[in-house]
Amino acid sequence: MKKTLKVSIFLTVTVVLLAGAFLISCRGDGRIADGTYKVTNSDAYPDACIVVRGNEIQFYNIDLNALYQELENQNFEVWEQKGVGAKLTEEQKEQFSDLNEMFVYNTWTIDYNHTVTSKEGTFTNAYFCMVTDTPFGLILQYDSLHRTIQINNPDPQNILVFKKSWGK
Amino acid sequence: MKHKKTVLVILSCIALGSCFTGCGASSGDKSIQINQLTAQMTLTGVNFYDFFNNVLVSNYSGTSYVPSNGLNSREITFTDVSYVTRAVHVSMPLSNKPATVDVYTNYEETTYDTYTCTY
Repeated sequence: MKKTLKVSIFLTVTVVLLAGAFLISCRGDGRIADGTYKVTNSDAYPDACIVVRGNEIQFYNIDLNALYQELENQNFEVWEQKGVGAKLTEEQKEQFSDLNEMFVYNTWTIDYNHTVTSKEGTFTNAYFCMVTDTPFGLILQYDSLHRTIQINNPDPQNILVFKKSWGK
Repeated sequence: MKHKKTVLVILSCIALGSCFTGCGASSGDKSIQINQLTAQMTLTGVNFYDFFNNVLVSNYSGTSYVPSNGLNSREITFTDVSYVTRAVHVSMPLSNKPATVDVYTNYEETTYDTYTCTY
């Protein structure tokens, strides 16, 4: 009985320590891990993916303007009415509201030291990938435990979730 | 009896340790933290009336994006983590860096909660 008890306690402590170490390793440094993340919930863009290399991200096979540009322009109008944010020319507004240009045809660099970051959970950070002082951009929420990136949106149906595909 | 006490103590330690491992960051303190350099505002446990969406928001915690000039008046317009634009009214502009501020919780600005501010 005594021996059984000791073994049980030892095994329990070992399991707890291993679980803790695993969870801590998953937490990482909060940065999005390199790799290819494939969309899991889009009928319109079933082949959409995000490629992450270092602090650069790029979207493929997706029309971000079709999905999010209208909301971006609405938010910018609100900011303009409230007199906040950068004053933009029409040309700049057109340039910055072109999400495909920023995220699909080119790579977006996440400056982790200066990007507004919201800690949403032990393993989840949301990065505001926006053109400075404007509402133009995307809010990307990264879950380091499940290795997913989601594009945050007020409409839950417009929240696309991308999951890391292993081996790439 | 001695063995039972030992087991109880060890199991209690394990339970406590499990609670601390991977716990969330919430401290329970209600506060407003501003970082003007990075244009972010972190609210912890804040109740506010959202004057843009006309809705009372309770116990809000999260970091949001505040545009320039956003802290220069009593109305703070910000974009939250869900990409929702919101507007909150406070008793004085946070650009003055007050130690505490009242945040209004109704449209008439007759009720409010007070929060500590850090910068």
